[in-house]
Amino acid sequence: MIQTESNPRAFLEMLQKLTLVSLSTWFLFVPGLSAQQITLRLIDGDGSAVAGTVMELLSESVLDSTSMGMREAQIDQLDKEFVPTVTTIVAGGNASFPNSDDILHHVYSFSPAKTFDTPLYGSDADSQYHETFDVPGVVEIGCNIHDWMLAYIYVGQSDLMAISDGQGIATLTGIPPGEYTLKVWHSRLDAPQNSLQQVVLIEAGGTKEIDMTLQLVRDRRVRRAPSASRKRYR
Amino acid sequence: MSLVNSPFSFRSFRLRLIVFLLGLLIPVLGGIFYYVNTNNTEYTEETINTYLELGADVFDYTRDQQALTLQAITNSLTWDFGFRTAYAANDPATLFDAALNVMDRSFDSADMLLIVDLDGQVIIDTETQGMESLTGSWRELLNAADADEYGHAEMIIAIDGMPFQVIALPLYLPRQVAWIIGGFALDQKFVDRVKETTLSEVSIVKLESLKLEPESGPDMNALEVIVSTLTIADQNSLAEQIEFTGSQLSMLQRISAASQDYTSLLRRLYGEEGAPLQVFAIIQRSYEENSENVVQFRSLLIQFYLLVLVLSLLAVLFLARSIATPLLKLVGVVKKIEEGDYERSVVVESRDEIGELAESVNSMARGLAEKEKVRDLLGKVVSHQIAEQLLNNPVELGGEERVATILFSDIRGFTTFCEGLPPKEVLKALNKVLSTISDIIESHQGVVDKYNGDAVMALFGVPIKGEQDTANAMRALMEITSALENMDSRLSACVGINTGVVVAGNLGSSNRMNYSVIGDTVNLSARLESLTRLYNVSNIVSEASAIDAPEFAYRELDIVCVAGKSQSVRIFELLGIEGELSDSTKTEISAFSAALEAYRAQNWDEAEQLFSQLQITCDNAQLCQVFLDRIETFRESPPAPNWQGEFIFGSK
Repeated sequence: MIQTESNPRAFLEMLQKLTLVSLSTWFLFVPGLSAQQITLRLIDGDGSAVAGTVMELLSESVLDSTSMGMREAQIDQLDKEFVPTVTTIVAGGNASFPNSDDILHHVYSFSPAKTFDTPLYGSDADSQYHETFDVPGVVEIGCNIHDWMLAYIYVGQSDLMAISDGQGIATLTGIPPGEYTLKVWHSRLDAPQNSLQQVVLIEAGGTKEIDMTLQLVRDRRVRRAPSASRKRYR
Repeated sequence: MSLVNSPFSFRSFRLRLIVFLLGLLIPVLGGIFYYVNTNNTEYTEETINTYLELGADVFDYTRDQQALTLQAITNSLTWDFGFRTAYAANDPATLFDAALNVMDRSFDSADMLLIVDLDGQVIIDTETQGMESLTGSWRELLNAADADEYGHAEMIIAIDGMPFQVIALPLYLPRQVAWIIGGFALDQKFVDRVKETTLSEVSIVKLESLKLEPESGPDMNALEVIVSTLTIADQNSLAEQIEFTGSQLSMLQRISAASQDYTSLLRRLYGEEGAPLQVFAIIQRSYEENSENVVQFRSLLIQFYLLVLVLSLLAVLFLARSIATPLLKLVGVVKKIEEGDYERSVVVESRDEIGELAESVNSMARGLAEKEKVRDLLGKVVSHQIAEQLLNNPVELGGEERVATILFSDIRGFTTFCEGLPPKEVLKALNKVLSTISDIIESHQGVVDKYNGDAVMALFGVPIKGEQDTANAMRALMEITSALENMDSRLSACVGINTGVVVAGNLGSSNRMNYSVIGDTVNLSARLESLTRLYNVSNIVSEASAIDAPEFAYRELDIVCVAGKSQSVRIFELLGIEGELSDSTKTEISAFSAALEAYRAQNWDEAEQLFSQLQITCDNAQLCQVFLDRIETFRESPPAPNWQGEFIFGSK
């Protein structure tokens, strides 16, 4: 997430995309469903908003991953960064990795949830490389050329997932009433598998607002390659 | 000459100059030597210290460089896709081979690799230490790395007693999944390389404290040299002498090793102070090697000083010689002059002060010779005493009133003596007589005042007053009388002596003057001498003289009143020394005295009778005749009623 702070353009684009996605989601659910809503407000130990946190609602009854959307995701490679850095995808969904840079990238993952690596490819590659993520879990992807490039693909069990924005707010609307397990994941969350769980009850027409303080471990930075080379090869 | 006993008085000018030179030169040279040597030694020590600091810095730099290389290699490894794949494959054996491969490719920059997971569980260890999970220093290393922003930490850790420079880096996949720890040994190879760069000796030692009894007694420290560029013997000296206490740690230590002295500087590599295991690097530099220049310079300086001293001594000897030789010549000449030899003169070529001195000595000798000549001549012209008086006192006109005895001597019968002799012979004879008289006078401390023909005027009591001036004059009188009688029967002396106040001094003009006496006393003396012919006696002395020399026997002759003098004077004839007179003489004296008494009492008949009788018996008939004639005269015209017996001489 720090990378986005250091790259305002990428951050803005990400925000735009996020808005589009949430808007479309909203339109999708508005006609048929009543207004049950859950809002998660996330801050860290210092009181700062925590962006990039994944909220997932798990339910015995709604655990039908095939029923809903979010089966396609796209992780762009822009200015030697993955955009977005956190992506949710429902198990069984696909993620593609287009290359918007004018240099080659080599995407890989050694995560148990999905181990893969692409060959080196550029923006002119006819076929966009994509992978299917069948196993729920977190897949950490990197680029073998650019050590600092890092993105997380959260492969969820349900399609009730949201990612906190810059204000640390993640919202899900149109949730069927019922009892859910709320799962919160952050790449630096100081907990097993970087995730926390709690049971929440969504009542019909009810709005749930939950404030959470996340204990984050310190971020370890990886040095980005010098800017001179960036200018030369862009 | 009182300085002879002082330690700073020298018998020779040369010795004085040498001592002076040495006294001046040695402190100056010594001071310079001390200053230069101290500064040089200080400078050398500073240089050694600088070299040592430099050596220590190079040691650190070399270590840092190698650590950087190690880091680069290890870092590359963490991003190596093949290695990542191997790690992801979760096969330690493969990973071990991959690690060995990397070490092989590192050109000795990496000697060991250790991979642990995030919990510190050892995955592979090329040193095969048998650790399952990291402990102790290794754990500290990981903690330090974990605390670092980039997950990077380095440290020196001893593995089986051998210090290793180790570095920990995270292994990203792409998130960190493990730690890779690379290390290289600070071994012989390493110290040899440092020595190549710094020309300093490098040793790495470990200090293990063996706590035999915990909490009691001093710690037993076992020091072991791990690697060293020193010889084994020097290593042993080092191990014996090096100090590890707190204050010594940062200071330079001097180690007297078997082969030479070393200045040493310690660097702590591993373990806190008091830790069970401590590892130090010791950078050492040979003291002799560095002070070689100082020693060389010192010996050069000493050689130079010796040269300066020798040259200065030679210069001083030459100088002393150039001064002493003419001085010694001068001393010789002056000694000769002291002995009275004025004929020598000094030849000094130089125009300096010594030349001037020589010139002065020469002119002084000439002056002295001249003075001596004058004195000699003066002694011939005037008497020695007057000559001395003239030479030693400022010559000035004027005089002083003195009591003196004046002796006038004349030679009776000299004209007869000279008859028929040529003038030269006359002069020769006269000179002989006068010389005899003069010698007699001088032998009785008299001073010959002047010669006038065959007459001599002599002074007693001036210019130098004596104890028995008048008596001396009497003795001279007697001697002159007898000397002339002995010389020739035809010659006889007639002498007049008077004593009284005279004016003594230099008489004459300012150009030409002579020491003499004037006054009535002198005139009377001369008159007395001339009266001897009248009384037919060899001498007449005045009453004053006779009273002044009572040890002689006199015969009263008369009372006279000489021309120009109102006072009458009693006159006597000196006959000899009192008590030595013969009886006949005594009888004659008393007879003459009786006659004289009758004469003065104006008993003319009795006086006439007595003188007539005496005229027959005594030697001096003429004397009696004088009185007989006067008696005749007085009978015809008697003297004045107040007549005391004096006889008035109308003219000289």
